[in-house]
Amino acid sequence: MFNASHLNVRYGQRAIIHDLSFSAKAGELTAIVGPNGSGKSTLLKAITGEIASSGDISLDGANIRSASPSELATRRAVLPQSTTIAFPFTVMEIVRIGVEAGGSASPSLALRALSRVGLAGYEGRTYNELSGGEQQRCQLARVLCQVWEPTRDDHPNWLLLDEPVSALDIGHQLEVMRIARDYADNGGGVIAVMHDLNLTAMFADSVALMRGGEILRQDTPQKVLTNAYLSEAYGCPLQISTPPADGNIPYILPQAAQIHQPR
Amino acid sequence: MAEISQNIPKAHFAGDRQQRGRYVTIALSIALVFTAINSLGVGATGLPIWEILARFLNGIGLTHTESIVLFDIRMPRMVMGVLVGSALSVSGTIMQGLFRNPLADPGLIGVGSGAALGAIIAIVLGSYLPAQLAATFGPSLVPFAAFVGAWATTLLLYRVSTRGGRTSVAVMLLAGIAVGALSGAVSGILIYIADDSELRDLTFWGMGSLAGATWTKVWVAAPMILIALLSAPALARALNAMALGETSAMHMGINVQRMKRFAILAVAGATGAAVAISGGIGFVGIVVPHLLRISIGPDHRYLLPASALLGAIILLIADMVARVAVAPSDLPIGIITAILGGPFFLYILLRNRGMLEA
Repeated sequence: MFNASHLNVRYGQRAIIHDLSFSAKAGELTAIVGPNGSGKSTLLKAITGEIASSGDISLDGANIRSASPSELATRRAVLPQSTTIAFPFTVMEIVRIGVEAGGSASPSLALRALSRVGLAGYEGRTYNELSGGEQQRCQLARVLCQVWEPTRDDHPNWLLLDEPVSALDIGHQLEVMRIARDYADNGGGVIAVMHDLNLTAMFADSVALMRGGEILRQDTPQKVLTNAYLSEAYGCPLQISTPPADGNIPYILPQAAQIHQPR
Repeated sequence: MAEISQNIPKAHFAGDRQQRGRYVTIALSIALVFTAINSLGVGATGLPIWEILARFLNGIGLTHTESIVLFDIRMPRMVMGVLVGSALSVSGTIMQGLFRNPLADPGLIGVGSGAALGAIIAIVLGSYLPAQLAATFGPSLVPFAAFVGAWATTLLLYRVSTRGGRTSVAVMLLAGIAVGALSGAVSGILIYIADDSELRDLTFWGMGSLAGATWTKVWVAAPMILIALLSAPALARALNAMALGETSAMHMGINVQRMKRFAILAVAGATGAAVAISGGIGFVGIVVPHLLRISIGPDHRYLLPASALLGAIILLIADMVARVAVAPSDLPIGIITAILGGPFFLYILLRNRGMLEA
């Protein structure tokens, strides 16, 4: 259980997040959605300890502020939006750095992680020569290596993902969401900041919808991804349909006043 | 995870340059031993190394003068070359990793400008010291002042750039430029009032030399340098993680603040001591890590020890050239490292552009 209560984040005088409460359960994929600037990434950075915040943040009942970086690193791994690398490391070296920082990663684990994200055969390539989407998946492989087992000694491990599919094509979006889904299904916890509402509807167990530094509502996708909430959060008309054949998963399309007709 | 790691053979994987790192480190160790032994036979007085060996093998031994040349002049000079060369290279490697910038060198944390200011103050204003104090320090006044200057500047910059327990690398870099300009100006004033012989001392100090090597200097500088060299491997994993950025390093379990403080103090100690005993020897700290990254990759677990070895080798070779190029007098070693290193580095850059562009 990842729990944040009465969370406040300020940048100088400006309050980005004000008195927010948020929780995510192990065994579930919790998505944080909302318009640009609503505080999604800030919330994720606050609960990873990356930025200063006030309020309580706990991981399975233990206050994360009193945990050392190395303790936390064995329990949760964080995928940033994008990562630039200072030196010409190879893909293999990048993936192994994730675990070697604290201990030692076996090459075979790194190879399994790379093939899991569809980068088998890329081990010898230089990271900086990969495309944006390949870099994103390479980082996911590194993050997976850090907390490979979804549970350890009956405690869940956690994946915290900041827009994990933003740079990916539609096939790899699905593949990465499946990886996150599997992790949750095997007892681990996943918290993902998401932009794509349809992928969120397909894969998430719980959705926290944010606007203006607050959570408008957190519940199942069927209850949160409704016309009323979404148009309030995003301020634009949306067309939402829920074909019963697909288990009531909502499909969300933006509603344009004029649709361009190709001649 | 444990059972996986037991089952795999120690095979070579694509993209894994650890084996190469090991081979290069072993090769450099052997090369350093040869260079060091060879450097004992080079000097203005002759006495080449094969003659020394032949004498010992035939049980003849050395004359009194020869043993002074070997044990009190050449040997401390060789040890000092190894210490200074490895200190400069390892410090350069650590700084480049910490600042995530292949152009970083110990100068960024104010060591260079602080040491230079300290040395200049000692050279120009040393004559105004009370006679008793001047006698106590003797010839070690300039190294002492350089070391104090290096440390004082680094601590000042560290304080300026640390707020709320977090050191900002960017602020440290900018503050370093400001402090460097300031100490440059103060140095300028002192140079303006210096007389001709003091100017000559200043110029030679700035170009660096191992000529004044004594066992005393070695014993004074060795602890600071050895502490940094021996603790550098403890920084390797953290520096690797830092390549992905400070926050990613933190998420991977690195105590980033503790690591930064440790790295900055180690570099200030080692470079401060090296500059104090040998003056300003440029180029080694920035070139050595680059050459090695091209050959074994940027993994600091191999890069740090290999840097120490290659830095020592390069400085010993440069010093041998310095001793014989215009014998019987000594060329400043900084000139040699730049003359030999500059064109070679350009050549390497032209051939390996792809490997360096990040």
